[in-house]
Amino acid sequence: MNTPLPAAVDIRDCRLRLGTAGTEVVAFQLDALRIEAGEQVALTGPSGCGKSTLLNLIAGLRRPDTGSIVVQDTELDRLSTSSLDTFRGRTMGFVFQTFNLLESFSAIENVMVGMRFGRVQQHGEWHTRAASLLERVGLQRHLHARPGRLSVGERQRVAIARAIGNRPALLLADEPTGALDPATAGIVFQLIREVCREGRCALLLVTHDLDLASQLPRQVDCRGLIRHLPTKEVSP
Amino acid sequence: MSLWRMAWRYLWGRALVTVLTLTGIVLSAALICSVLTLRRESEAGFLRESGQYDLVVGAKGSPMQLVLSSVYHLDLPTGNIPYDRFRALLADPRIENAIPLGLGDNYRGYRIVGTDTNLFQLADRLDPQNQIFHLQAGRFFQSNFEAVVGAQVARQTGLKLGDTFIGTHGLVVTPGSSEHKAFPYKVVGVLAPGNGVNDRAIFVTLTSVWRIHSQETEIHRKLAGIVSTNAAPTASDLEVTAVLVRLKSVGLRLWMVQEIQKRTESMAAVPVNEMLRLYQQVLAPMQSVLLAVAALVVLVSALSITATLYQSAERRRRDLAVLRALGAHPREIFALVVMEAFLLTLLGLSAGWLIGHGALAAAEPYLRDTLGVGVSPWSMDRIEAVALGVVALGGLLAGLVPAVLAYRREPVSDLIAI
Repeated sequence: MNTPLPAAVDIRDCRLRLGTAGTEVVAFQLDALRIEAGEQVALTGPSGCGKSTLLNLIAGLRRPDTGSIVVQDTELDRLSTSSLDTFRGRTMGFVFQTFNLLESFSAIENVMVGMRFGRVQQHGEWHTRAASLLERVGLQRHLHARPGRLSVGERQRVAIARAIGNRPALLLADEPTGALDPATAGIVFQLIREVCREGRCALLLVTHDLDLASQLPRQVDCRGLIRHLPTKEVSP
Repeated sequence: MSLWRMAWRYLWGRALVTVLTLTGIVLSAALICSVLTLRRESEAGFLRESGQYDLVVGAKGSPMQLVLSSVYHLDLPTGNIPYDRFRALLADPRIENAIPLGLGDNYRGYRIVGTDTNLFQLADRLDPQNQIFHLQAGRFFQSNFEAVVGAQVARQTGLKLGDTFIGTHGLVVTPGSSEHKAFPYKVVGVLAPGNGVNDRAIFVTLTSVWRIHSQETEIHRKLAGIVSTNAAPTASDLEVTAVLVRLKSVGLRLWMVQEIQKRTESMAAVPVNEMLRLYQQVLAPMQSVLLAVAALVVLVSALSITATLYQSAERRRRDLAVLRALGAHPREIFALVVMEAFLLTLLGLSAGWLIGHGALAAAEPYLRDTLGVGVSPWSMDRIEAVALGVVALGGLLAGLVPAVLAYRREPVSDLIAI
């Protein structure tokens, strides 16, 4: 009998004080969100509805004021800053809208940097695995190219290779196709889905593109998920 | 990919700024290395020479001038003293050695020093098993108008064994100086290089100098209408420029100086004291000014490192945030910035050390030829190591401010969207 895999993400009663809007202080509230292992979820909604804040919370880059965020059976709030950094590096991969590649490093070095801080693989394996990942995303001829010499589509492929370098359980992608032309966007979107499937990695993909979102098995509209409350309702 | 390699890549990712920042560190390190080495080596060189003799006895005047002209062949002599004075010193039971010097001529700017063979027998006080003078070729002079030339003289003038040359009147080259064509010298010996003042002197018998100058005296007499006696000069007519003295006890130095000042028309100077005075009053303040300039450059360089790394960390806020998102600990971000400072400083110090000592190596022949002091340009002592260590520490401290700021930064604020 197979042991059920832990949920990739399980959030309950999460509240976060965000800042002020005029004279009123605004806070973010999310009652519950669960993403199963290997599940692919699209998160949609208008700008400012809290999509990026939610990704930051799941990544542990922000800590909620109350509530619990559990990723892969680990409650993030119980981890120290360093432990959380290590956990994030090992468990999660990121794909950003603006790629966020390190300009001073080549494509393969960008992937290896991810592995270095992920601390999952042995030092000796980094180069081989980084090269094979770049080959997987079609960049075998650009291993040593700096990001500035690559097209935007190629840069996003490097970012995808970096994101999956540590075989993460969860891939967080924030508008990964937002800076790409439609043709390239389609290719990159499919690539993200494929690598997640191959790695049995859960995917939470933020997008404004409803057509792309509809291609994923599950769509979540942040307007139905996240509420913005006046401060008085938020516990200190 | 180690943090060191990452730090290195970040440095060269902004090559121009890195090179400009490095320039300040390189200059300060080069200045510190060259000034400290020059100070140490020249001081050692000067004191090494001055320590060979306890006293120099000569005509009254400036003690410093007497030492510089007699021991270092640098300044003009203070005058002459009677040869009898030298004989009296020789007879003094407190004196171990007394070496007469007679100056007056030069060959292509190199002084011709009349002396006696006792000079060549003197043991080196720093290495008593050896003598001060070593021959590279030939022998020491045995008769008049035979010359032993210093290594630098041989190198610069091309004089070699068997060559003859004519001395020129005066201690420095001046246009129209008369040559003593009737009295050619023959080279019978060439000294081995000693990195000292003797490399740039020509040694001949004292009698040779006397004979040349008695001829001149005769000419002067004729011009003055004085009838020549054609008589050989007597001992009472003879003079020496100075006498180098070694005492049987170093403790007698000051006592002898006072006695000579009081009882005779001549003067005595203690070479070591004069050179220390020269150092303390002239050279040390100049070197202190140079070191102060170097310290200022170090300070400016440290500030420059701080500014560079701070700006770099600010410009890389997103990079550092991405590293945090990828799993880097705050302490690793801190270490990364400090490593950049360390590499920058290490690179600057290494290049500065090479340039500073390289400049000394390039200047070494000039220093040896003009001052008669050989320096070991690539040597390094504890003081220099400590000074460079302080600069390295300054570089590291300069990296701490931007490193702490990067350490404390929350990554989420620098990621537009995670």
